[in-house]
Amino acid sequence: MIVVILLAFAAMLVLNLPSLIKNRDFKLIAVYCLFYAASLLFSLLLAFNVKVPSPIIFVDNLFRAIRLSY
Amino acid sequence: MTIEHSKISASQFMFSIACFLHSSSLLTSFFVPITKQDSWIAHTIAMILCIPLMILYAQLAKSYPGLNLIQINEAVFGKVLGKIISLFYVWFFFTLVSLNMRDLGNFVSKTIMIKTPMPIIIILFILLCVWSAYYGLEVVTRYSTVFLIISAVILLISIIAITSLINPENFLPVFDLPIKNYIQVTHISSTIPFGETVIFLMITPYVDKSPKKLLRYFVGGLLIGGILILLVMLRDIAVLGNTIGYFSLPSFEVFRLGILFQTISHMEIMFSILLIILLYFKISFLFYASMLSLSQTLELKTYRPLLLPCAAFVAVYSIINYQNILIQIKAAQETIPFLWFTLEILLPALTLAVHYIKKSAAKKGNGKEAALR
Amino acid sequence: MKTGLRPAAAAAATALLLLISSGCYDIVELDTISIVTGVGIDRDEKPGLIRLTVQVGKAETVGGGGETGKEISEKAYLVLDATDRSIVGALDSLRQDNSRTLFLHHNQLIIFGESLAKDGIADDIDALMRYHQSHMNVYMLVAEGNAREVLDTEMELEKIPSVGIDRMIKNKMEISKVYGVSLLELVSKLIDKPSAAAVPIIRTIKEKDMSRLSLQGLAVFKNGRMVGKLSENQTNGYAWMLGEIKSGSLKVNTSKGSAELNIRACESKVKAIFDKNGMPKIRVDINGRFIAEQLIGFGGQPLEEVIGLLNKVAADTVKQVVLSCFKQTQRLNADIFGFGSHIHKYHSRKWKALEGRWEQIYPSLELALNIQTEILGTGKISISPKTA
Repeated sequence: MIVVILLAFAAMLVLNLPSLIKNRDFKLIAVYCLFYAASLLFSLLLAFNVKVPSPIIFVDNLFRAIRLSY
Repeated sequence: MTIEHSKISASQFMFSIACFLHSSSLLTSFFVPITKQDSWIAHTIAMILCIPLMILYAQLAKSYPGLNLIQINEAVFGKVLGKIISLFYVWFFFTLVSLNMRDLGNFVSKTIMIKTPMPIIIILFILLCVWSAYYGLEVVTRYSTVFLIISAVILLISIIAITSLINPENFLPVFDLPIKNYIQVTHISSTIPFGETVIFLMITPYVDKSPKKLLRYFVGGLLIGGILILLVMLRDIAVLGNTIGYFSLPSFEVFRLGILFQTISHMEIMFSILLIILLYFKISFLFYASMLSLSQTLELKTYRPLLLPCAAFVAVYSIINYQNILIQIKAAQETIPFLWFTLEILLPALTLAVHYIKKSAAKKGNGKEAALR
Repeated sequence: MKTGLRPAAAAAATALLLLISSGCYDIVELDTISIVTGVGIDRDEKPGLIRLTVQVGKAETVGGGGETGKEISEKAYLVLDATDRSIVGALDSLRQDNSRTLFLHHNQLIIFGESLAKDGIADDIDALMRYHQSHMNVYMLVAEGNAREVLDTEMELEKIPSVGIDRMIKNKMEISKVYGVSLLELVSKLIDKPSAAAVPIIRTIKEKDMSRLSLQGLAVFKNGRMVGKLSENQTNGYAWMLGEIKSGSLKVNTSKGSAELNIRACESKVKAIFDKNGMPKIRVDINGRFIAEQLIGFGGQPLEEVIGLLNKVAADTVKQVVLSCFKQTQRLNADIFGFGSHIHKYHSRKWKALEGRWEQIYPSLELALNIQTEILGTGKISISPKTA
């Protein structure tokens, strides 16, 4: 599974990196790297069966704490 | 500065809204266990209550013609506060994509492909959405009319197939449950399918009709989509009666029971195909709109290079969000209505209110200046 | 992308898509499954265990065409059974001891053994509803004795007995729809308040060296347990009360002669009337239309008199049959007609007061029957031929 993930992310890089560097739009490259790193990190964590805290469950608990739920 | 350059027609806009809403007929399993046979009543009330909501959205689009939701936020609240509020919207849209992906993954893995691991289904699907989002708005909304017609035809076929199983007494007793249930389901129904149409404010500038005339298309889409969901619900209740609260996919069971001309039976695959088609439309549209909102907030020239990493992020996000479906259903029934309410109704209403305050302050300021001269 | 690379990438992507979209993971080939046509659930001798019997249809023997003589002696079906604590456990052990996986999507029947039915079927219904491969339109039956015996009985005219039983049910449903109770109907009646249902009984009758199957009577369930039976006559009364008789015949005996009437149509209307204390009384209007199929012994009487007499006596006969069924259900205290459910649906506020006491109310519930009969015709001849 991990091999498949790494292969997929490498393929993503191969497809996108040449055009990104050619355009020299640094903001775009920064956002790209941000999402790339985040998704790579989380998918590897999931592949290793590490429990990742979920943002929506966090918001869910928040709303329950302020008693705004049925 | 617009990122999107294509234009769509107003009727495409209306059918996109209708198709978007109709694909939520799968999500009836969220609130049907609460009101059982009376779910159709709560749903109709929600549909009528959301017409003022459409008026709110159309008014917002009319006040800032040519600007999509993110740009409106910046125009109303200023650059910094506007960007913060836009980030909330961006998070909201991405969460919608991932939740719907999760619904699709659940549905496919529970009914059709039982052994296939869910991540594979999700990844294949998101790649398809990336493909359609790459080509822009026109491609994403092009097939809305066709999909809607196909689903209406299949709905009609299913109603013919179950005519022998309909029992009108299944709708009784009416109004037998505590009032709290009806309020809860009206709330859920108005936020989960109907309120999500706030995302269409992202594409109002690209409709080739003046924003002043958009209201009828908003309301038209709401009514078409809402009535189709209502028909689905009526059909399910007529066949399943008091057992409807037990099934996690009531429409699926109804399709299993239907028999056409004594030979064609076990039609649940038709339902599965239809649902995948409709959910594809919804998710690809949501994905496109969230990419558009992300690049608009960050003031990028184009969103195309970001498609693949965001798709990967959404795929992973959808698996992280709710680890199992029971938590998802419980959250959808209890806290999501309130959370979605703040993002879909409160925030746009606040935006419109601030806009009016600014406008009247500007008028007063102009009046004072005119008086001073 | 370089122009040369594009077609190659497109070709690679298409090839990959073709491979992936065939859905290889979940592939099911016809020769790796055994198609289950009937399921029977019995109580095992050891306490707490159930015995699951499945009847598997052999696709080759049924489908093969052209050759005669060779395949008559070979059975077209196979009966397998397993013992376990629950249905799912038994299905699992059947899967493991087999060369093929069980395919339950085409299951036609579910038969409960009598002793299991008396113990309670609620747990098994739970497993059946949850199981992904079970469909809600399978017919439910209760076997007199063991379900395994019923599933093992060969039928003369049908290669696979379950298909034969399914056709038998559909045949009997031509007379009255009460003989076809699907899983959905059964669950709907069991979860209703008050909970009562009636399921057809199937039995194996051994004649000389052969056995045949027969559908007769209904098993009455209350709160998920079988509490009694209705005879064939009482089943007719049940069907009359619900207005579900479509055809069949009614024997009428008068002082001047007797007749066989063929039932053409039947409607019934239930109404609940409340007296000043809030106690309910049920009024049922039944309307039956007949055609005289055989007139015995009326002599030389004019036809109008005969028809008038037959009308009156037919109404009385129907009334007797319905009342006999109703009294049996009152003895068993099982509201299979859905009177409580009717009050719940149409008078829900009054039902809230009665719900807790329905157990006490039902055995002494008053029933006012109003039966209208109409004899539409007398067949191809009007007066009987005089032979003496």
